[in-house]
Amino acid sequence: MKLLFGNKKEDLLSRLKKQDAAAQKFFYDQNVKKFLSVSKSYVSDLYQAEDCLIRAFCKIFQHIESFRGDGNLEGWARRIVVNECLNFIKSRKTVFYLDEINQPFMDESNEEELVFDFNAQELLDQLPDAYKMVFNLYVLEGYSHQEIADTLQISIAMSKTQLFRAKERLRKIYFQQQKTLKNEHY
Amino acid sequence: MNTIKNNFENQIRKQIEEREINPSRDLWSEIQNHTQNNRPKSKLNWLLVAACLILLFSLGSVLVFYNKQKPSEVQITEGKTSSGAKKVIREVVKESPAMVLQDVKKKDETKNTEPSENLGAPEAVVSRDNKKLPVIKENTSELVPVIIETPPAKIIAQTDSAKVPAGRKRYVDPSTLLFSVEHKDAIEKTKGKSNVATIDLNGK
Repeated sequence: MKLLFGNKKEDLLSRLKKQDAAAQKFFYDQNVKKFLSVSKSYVSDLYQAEDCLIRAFCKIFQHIESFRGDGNLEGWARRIVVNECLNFIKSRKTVFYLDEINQPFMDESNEEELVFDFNAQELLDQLPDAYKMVFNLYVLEGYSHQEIADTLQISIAMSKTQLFRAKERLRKIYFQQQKTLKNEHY
Repeated sequence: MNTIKNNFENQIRKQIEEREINPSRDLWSEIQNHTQNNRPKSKLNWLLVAACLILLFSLGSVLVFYNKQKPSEVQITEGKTSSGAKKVIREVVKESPAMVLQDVKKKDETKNTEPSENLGAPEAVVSRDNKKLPVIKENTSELVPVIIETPPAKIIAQTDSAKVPAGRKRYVDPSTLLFSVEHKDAIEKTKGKSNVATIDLNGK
């Protein structure tokens, strides 16, 4: 397949625009694992994440004409995957943006242990949808608060608050996990 | 403190970015199904068009082949009457556009021209008229003259009937004329417009 397309992304793009099935398969094989990881970070259930990915690929192939070729094709496709996941979360149920009045979680004694010993997906799966969406868009996708506000149709202040709460929740979950592990160990 | 928090976020980002998940099912087939269903269907059903073309070609070839097979074929149809004495030969000339089969009167005329030779021989009637006229087909069964058989004992033919050919005559035999005048009451006209005299021999 690489011989077929070489490294010429323009050739791949032109063939995708012609709805070439071989080019579509090549693009799918190249990106499916990565995009499924992205989809899974938004949607906890693997089956539902795969459904989102199917719809996203269909949209990518259908609307490939609208990609002007200015940026990266994979980046453009990834945005479609993310949008599809967000639409799925919104359609599934009403998303409540929580504004909890909690004291910031501070456990500085364990800050040094934070760095390498955790499973990110397990932490993300325990976040509420609203927190998860804002956190992922900001941290993983690199959106600004303005972009997050536009995408989720919330205010910028709400976006900032949600991000702060999400980070706090993640840390809390992490330390709770660590404590249970220590207790089990001893 | 901030660097540690950033490390925490970076660690999450790094893990998600580097992660690759294999699909648990065949997603490609489902994507293909979706894309094929969403593709605009052409208005023409090409299978239907192909079937129509094949049908047209086959019909055309059959017609051409059928026409080539019988260019100027002479078809002889033998129709036997109930007695088996009469035969009708019909010549069908395909290339000549006009063909009219004449009725029985015309047959009699042709018979009279060749009296002895045509006796017992099949009658052939062919008429060629203007070529531009359309072909007129007539049912051969209508052309066969009706023969009414009467019991031979009751029919008295003319005295010199043996000399006269079997076909109808255009002239009147004097003896027949005399007989017809003398036995006017006994002469009857049949459906075939032939005069038949019936005499009861037992009565005399």
